Amino acid sequence: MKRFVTYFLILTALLIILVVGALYLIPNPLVRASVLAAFPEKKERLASLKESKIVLLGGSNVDFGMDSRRIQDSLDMDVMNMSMVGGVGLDYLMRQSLPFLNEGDVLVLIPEYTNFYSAVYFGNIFLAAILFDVAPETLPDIKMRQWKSLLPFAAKYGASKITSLPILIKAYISKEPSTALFHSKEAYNVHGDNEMHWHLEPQLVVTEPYNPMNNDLNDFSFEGIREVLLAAKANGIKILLLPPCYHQSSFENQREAISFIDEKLKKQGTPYFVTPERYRMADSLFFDTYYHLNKQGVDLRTTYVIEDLQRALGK
Amino acid sequence: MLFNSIEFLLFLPLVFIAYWFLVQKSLKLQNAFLLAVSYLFYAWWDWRYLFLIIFCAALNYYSGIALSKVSSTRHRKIILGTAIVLSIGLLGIFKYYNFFVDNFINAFASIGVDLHPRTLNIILPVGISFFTFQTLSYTIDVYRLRLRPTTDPIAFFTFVAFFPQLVAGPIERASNLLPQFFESRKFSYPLAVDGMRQILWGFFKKIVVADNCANFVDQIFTNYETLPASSLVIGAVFFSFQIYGDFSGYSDIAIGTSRLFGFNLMRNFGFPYFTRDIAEFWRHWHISLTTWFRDYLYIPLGGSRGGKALVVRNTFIIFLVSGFWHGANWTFIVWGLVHATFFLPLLLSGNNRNHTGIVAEHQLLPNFKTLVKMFITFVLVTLAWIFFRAANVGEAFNYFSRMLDPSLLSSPGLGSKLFIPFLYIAIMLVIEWFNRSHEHGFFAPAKMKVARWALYLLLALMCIAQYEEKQDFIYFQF
Repeated sequence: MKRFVTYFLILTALLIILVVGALYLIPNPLVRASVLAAFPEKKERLASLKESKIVLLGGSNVDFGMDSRRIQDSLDMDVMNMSMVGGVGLDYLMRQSLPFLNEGDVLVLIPEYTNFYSAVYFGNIFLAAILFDVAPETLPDIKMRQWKSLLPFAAKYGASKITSLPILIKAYISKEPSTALFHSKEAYNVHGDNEMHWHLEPQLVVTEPYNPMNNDLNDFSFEGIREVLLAAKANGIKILLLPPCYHQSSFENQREAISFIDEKLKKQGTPYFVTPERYRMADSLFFDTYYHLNKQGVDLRTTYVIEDLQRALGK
Repeated sequence: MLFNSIEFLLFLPLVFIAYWFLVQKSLKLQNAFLLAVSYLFYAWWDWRYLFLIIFCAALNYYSGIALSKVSSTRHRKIILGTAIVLSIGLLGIFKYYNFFVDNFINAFASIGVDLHPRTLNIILPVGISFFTFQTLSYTIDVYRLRLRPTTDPIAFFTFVAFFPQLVAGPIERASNLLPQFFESRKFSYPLAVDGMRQILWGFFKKIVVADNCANFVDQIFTNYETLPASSLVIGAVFFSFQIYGDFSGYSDIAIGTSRLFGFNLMRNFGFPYFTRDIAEFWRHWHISLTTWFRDYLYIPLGGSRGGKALVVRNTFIIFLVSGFWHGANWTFIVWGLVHATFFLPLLLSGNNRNHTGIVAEHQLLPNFKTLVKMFITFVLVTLAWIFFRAANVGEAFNYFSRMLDPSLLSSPGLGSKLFIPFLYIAIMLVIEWFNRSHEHGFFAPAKMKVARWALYLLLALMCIAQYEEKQDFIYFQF
């Protein structure tokens, strides 16, 4: 028994040392060349903007699916798209962006539906990648409650650095991003929109499978959004909570979950500004996933957002 | 509680420590402790359904005692019949009630009669098909005088609820598992180490192989109408490995976990994709269920004795029931019938036991003939899995027809990550091939300690790297 327990503990300790060591010691050139690496630049740009600006915040559906320049021209306000891949987590994005918002600014919050019924809200492996390879200075900003959710993803990220070591070494030596350009750091315009895919041929878009609403709804996301909205409101920041754009076929598969989210937001006093159906968009308007619009889709969605903003701001 | 959850990662070491350090002095205490933690394990999912396990255990426990107290055949038959009717009745209500009602409504609707009977809004209790069959095997064995009834309720209730195999088997026989609750259990280092190895291998098959395949399978089966035929073939192949990795992975974790506590569970999988015909496949796939049906249904029906008509009837019955056991859907019934159709020619021609030994024994690789046989068996099994995976029979037939499209030769268009599941499948097959003469797929030689530890760490890292939260085991729904 003693031998068994000793060996088990040694192996477990070795495993932990390897994972933690990999997190801190193995650089990930793929992440450092990817869309995730754009976050510090987005933050810098946001910090440089003056008062009376519009900040767009959401997952990749906003990151990939907005023409901020048009919004800026239509509303005559600076616009910055602070959205990142959904897996970075809305909580992190909100808490990193809010300090730069002041009275008179407008926050357009567009959480993806998965934020409400999975661990995505607190971030997954994408946030682990940002924390350990892109913006380690933000590590202290992560609260204990968030770590509880993030820890398995951090472990996953550390372990994946070891299991994909040959790929990382190859990328490090070649110094060339092995990813499509629209997934690279270079994909952004000055407003923080990922526009690299706008002129590419749409790829195959698969429908999100039916996912019945179950009991593992992430209450933290509702609470977190409510907290942030109240805090922003108290500081004189105008808030607009919008549903994400969503592939029509996938929308039909998720209808039950979407209605549930819509109702729950209403009940807690933070309703969507419009119905989710407004942003249910034809399948043909998507680029590569059910959340990523193609250029035609971006144009239509931007028009909707401009209309909603005009109505909300009385312009 | 799922095996592949953070909760279980904490639960298992704590239970292990308490079991061997706190309650090891008394067998009764050990059993009571195992019962308590088994109920906790189940209640983690939904405590309200614990009453079903307790009811099922109590019913069969008292049936066993009652059977030992009466000698008249008529009374014994009444007791057995009552236990079977109540156990199967429970299964019928929770698993099949809505299926029968829906089909009843549809049948009457087809002749223009609209019926509105009440359907039940109930969720299927996890593991109900497994613990129902396990407890029934006890009562039937007692009835057949093959087993003496136990008078130790704690041992019996623990046998029914034993957490490693409670929710997805192996469906243990009372004659194998129950006596182990009466024997003093001493910690065995080789048994525990082999158990850990089997657990690790089970996690690898579930997290690395099955879950990676599942991501593609879900996409492909949802979008099969718009994808090229080549994708559909890949979807079917991936599903074959998904269900194998998922279910045999679960069994490995269950058997390995039991070993940590000094128990030996029956083998549930014997490398089924290395088999040379359908008959051999069924001797290697979900062995605990197949042998259950053989012993408690097929043989009582007359088995292979009697005329060919009887053999055909019995074969169809056993495959049909086996299919229906998996779920209240016509897809499972058709899946069973398809397998019966594959199996019957072998049985009727007397070729169903042509392959009983280890495939390519004492050889590094199979010869060409064996390879072809293994390939054909795999193709047949994979085609049948399409019924198993499809949402309904119509969808399965559509899937088949779209697979025959000229786009079979075109690019699958499933992205650059398509190679990943293939890579993991290949790793699994190679390791299992070299271990095919062993009890499970991850036997490691006693020598070469450093290499062995490096392999353990690598597999563990792969599991952590590929871990996805909330990926249920497929067989939980049965």
